[in-house]
Amino acid sequence: MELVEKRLILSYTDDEGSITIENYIKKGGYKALRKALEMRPEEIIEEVKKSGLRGRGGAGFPTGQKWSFVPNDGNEHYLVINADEGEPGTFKDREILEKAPHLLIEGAIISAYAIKANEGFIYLRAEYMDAFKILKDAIIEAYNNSLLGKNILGSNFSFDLHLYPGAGAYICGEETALLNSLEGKRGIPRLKPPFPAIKGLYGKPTVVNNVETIANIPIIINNGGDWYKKLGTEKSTGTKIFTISGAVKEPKVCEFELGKITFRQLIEYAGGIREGSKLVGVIPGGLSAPILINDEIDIPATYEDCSLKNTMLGSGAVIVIDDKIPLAKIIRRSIQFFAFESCGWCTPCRDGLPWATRILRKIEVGNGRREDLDTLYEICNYIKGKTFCALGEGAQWILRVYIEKFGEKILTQG
Amino acid sequence: MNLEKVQELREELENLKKIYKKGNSIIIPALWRVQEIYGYLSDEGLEILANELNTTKEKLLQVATFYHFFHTKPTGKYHIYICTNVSCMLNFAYEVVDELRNILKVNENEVTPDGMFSWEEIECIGLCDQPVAGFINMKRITNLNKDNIKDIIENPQNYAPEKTKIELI
Repeated sequence: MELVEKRLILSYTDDEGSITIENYIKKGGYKALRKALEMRPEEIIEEVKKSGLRGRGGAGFPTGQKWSFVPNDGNEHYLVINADEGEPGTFKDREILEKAPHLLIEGAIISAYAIKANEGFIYLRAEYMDAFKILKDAIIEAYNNSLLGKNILGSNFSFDLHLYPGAGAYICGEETALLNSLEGKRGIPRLKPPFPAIKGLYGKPTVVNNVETIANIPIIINNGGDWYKKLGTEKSTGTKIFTISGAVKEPKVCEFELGKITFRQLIEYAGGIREGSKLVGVIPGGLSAPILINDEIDIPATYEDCSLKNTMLGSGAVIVIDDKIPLAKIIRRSIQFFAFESCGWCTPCRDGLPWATRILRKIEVGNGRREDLDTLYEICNYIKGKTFCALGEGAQWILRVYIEKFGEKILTQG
Repeated sequence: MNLEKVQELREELENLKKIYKKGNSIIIPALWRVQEIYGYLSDEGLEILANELNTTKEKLLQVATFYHFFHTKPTGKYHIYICTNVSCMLNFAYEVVDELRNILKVNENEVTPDGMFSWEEIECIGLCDQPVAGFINMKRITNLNKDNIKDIIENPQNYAPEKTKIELI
């Protein structure tokens, strides 16, 4: 069976993309904004709720619901777009930022209107150096066309949009760490509650949404929430952008209707596994998502199917693992990442992850013993449920699953 | 005191003040400007920043040291990052790192005696479709392997940008 993409967002990146406003308008751009400005903000939130859209950054929280938490208080609100795409294996937002900046800007304006924000920031990771210029030029074009600034398209709604540079910190993809960073502080997560919708940037109600989430908004407003909900499954509506990398012949970014494709098919779509190697497993949603092995990769790539297999769809970053690199080395490198990126606030994460990395290094060079696996499992228990944010939680989760699925093979493979 | 650089930094700060008006948001963009102008977070740059922003050098460093891209010591004229996270590692990133270490004969974050190069490993930079990926002075280098990394060291000017500057609005 031939695999056919459903390119809603990525259609804006086809051909010459839509970097310039002319190209974007040719592809139907800024129609949704005109329609949205005729609606009441509450109606937009209702439409997004109806669509069933879930946050595309990793956590999968329903977007419309997140928006509805913002109080109707007449005070200043903020919209923050999380473009700190740092989950290893993920490069979907890069595609939008570099090739369809106006889709993101249109989505931002509509979202800001819905949550009654007059100022917004795109928190962009410094790794995406080229995207700063592309977005800045697009933002200027939008200002010049009365799409940003005072009285947008002659309406009563005003909105300013800024770029904010990250400086290299995975944890700043966590929304409250991001807000601290955006306030010029160290990127340490905040205690929740209060959630950003109540107390966010500068202590004001704030919505933080991922780039792909925001890019879906013009599409939902153009076609309606009911139309969007018909795509995908009951719990995973719409389309999802996947990035496939690792041990495949043709790593790529693609967009499929949720529920219509399995992880095995995604590997095929990326040209299959590379020559002369055997598949070991698939990381389904970025490095924080536990590995799937054997027939588990025949499940549809959806939020609920991943959840049933004790993993997550996360950011949709599919990392294909083969046997060319020893398993212990892959696990060590993964945990080393989380140890390096730990912000240091919580002791179990700050001290537990480097400890686990040291043990994994020992295993990697062939000096591992059965008891080391027990110690690693114990470290997982020290971390689980005892940290502020999901970084340490994710690290112990993937390590635990590696031990459960591979056991002593970790000591001997490679 | 390098008057030209001081002047440039002051002008850049004036521009940033127009964009980032609330709280201390200006700090991270301003730290970037110091690094862009001086190549690292120099004492001189940080002191000007501290003065202009009504804070102290120590407080600025408290923020800066959280972020991997900020350097508190000079790097080589060409600073190279190689991603060794899982997707790049599966495509033999450590071979590239080993070759780099062999050619340059310095360890991670050390500068070659002629001041030309320094290097470090980096976590995922979102170029997993073009492994092995990295940066030279923040400009992308992709599809790296143990052979083509040699050319980058021999002809760095062909790969590195003339100037690195983050565009803000």
